[in-house]
Amino acid sequence: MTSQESALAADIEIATRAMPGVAALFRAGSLASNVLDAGARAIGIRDDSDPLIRLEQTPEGLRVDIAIGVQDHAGAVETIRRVQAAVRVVIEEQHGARAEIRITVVHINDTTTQGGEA
Amino acid sequence: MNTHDTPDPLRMEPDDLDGHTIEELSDYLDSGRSPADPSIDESAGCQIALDALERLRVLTPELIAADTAAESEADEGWVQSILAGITLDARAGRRIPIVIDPPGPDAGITEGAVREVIRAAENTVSGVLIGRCRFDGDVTVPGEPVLIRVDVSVPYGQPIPGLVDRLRTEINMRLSAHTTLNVTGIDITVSDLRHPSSRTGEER
Amino acid sequence: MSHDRDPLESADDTIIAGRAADGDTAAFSVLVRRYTPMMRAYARRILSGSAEVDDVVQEAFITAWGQLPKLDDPGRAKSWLMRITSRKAIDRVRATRPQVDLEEVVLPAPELCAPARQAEARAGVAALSDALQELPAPQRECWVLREIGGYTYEEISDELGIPLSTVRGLLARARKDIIVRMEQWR
Repeated sequence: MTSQESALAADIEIATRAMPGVAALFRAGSLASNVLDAGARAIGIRDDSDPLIRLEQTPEGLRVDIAIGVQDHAGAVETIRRVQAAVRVVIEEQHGARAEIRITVVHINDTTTQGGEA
Repeated sequence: MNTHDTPDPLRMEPDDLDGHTIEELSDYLDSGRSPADPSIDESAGCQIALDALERLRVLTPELIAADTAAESEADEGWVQSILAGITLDARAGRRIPIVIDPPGPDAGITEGAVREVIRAAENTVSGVLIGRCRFDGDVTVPGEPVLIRVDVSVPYGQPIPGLVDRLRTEINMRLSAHTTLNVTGIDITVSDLRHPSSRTGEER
Repeated sequence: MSHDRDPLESADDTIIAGRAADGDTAAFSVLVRRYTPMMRAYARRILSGSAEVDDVVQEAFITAWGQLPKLDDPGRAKSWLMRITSRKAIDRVRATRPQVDLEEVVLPAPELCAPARQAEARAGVAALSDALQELPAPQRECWVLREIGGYTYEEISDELGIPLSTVRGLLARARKDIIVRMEQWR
């Protein structure tokens, strides 16, 4: 990942986490490596050089992959709208770039249990 | 000691069983003694052997129960050692698209997350436990009609239709908040009526 | 943590196995607690020694977790778990036992080993338990799979990798030998 991309990924992560309704950020890109079930905590070893946000250069341009956990009360649909808006600002206004944004909700925080944090 | 002059059915050789073999008698017993075979039914030796086989058959469930009772219960360490061996992935399931008006993102939610959504509905309907959730219909196609099927356990003594209605309403609400699935129905099957569990002194 | 107050602990298999199939490890833990003794007992009857019983049951549960989503009727979890257990136990047995010519296996005449026991009154389950333990392994395995595991003759043939006719013979011999011993002790 270039330093430019690293910076972009970092800013996207900050913006995403700041959104109301976002309970957690997970490693994007592979559904299979991210699942939690209702009782388990996320177990992850955070390597700062390996961001959770995934950036991919496709023939059509840059694609940003984001995997989030959502607070039950906030609603996944609303939260995705907010995240998308915030991330678009980061990409286009902060970094002057264009990208396709892909957001997947992988976990819903049951309010009676502790959520996972990545 | 036995002499071999007198047939002894419990030696279970064909000589003792009027020409029949123990295999035949086993099969005869397994098939519920039908179709009736007079050569067996009229043989005293066979009847004695069949009775012994029957006694053995009756003992078997008692053996299973005794064996099981003799084993120790699973302790927490045992449960943990198994959980350590399972992988939590592959329960995510398919990615279900969330339709957001353009210029919306490519948005989606995993089947696993939607199941969590549905299961969390039990928190608002006291005592209800949700089992398996199934989606009938291709959830990966936006707008495709989907029927939700849910197994449910309810506490004994509460009127079921009321609980089921409340649960259905709750599930509906949650699905609207978390998905854009075109839900055509929510099929709730009550598969378990639980008796109130006895309280223990220990708090969690 | 007290499990008794947890409503999950008293829910039936359809609910528990259904939740576990959907990824709920708490529900899966209930399944583990509920059926560990039964599966240990079953494995112990199949294996000649007790050393591997826990390994076999653990393997069975781990396999079960992976296969649960494919179980059509979660209400059948109990017999399904038993199947997995016997499969794992038989795998162990076949791995560690050299090929035995099953037709050659002959039970020593009960008179030779019974004298010390004839004086004791052995009734019912204890007698059956002892008789089972004294069977040669191939007979015991057939009997356990049939009578405890509920296998058909064909399924035993598949599981043990022996011809159907051999299964019949082993089962008949097992029943005969058990009865001869038990009746001797009466």
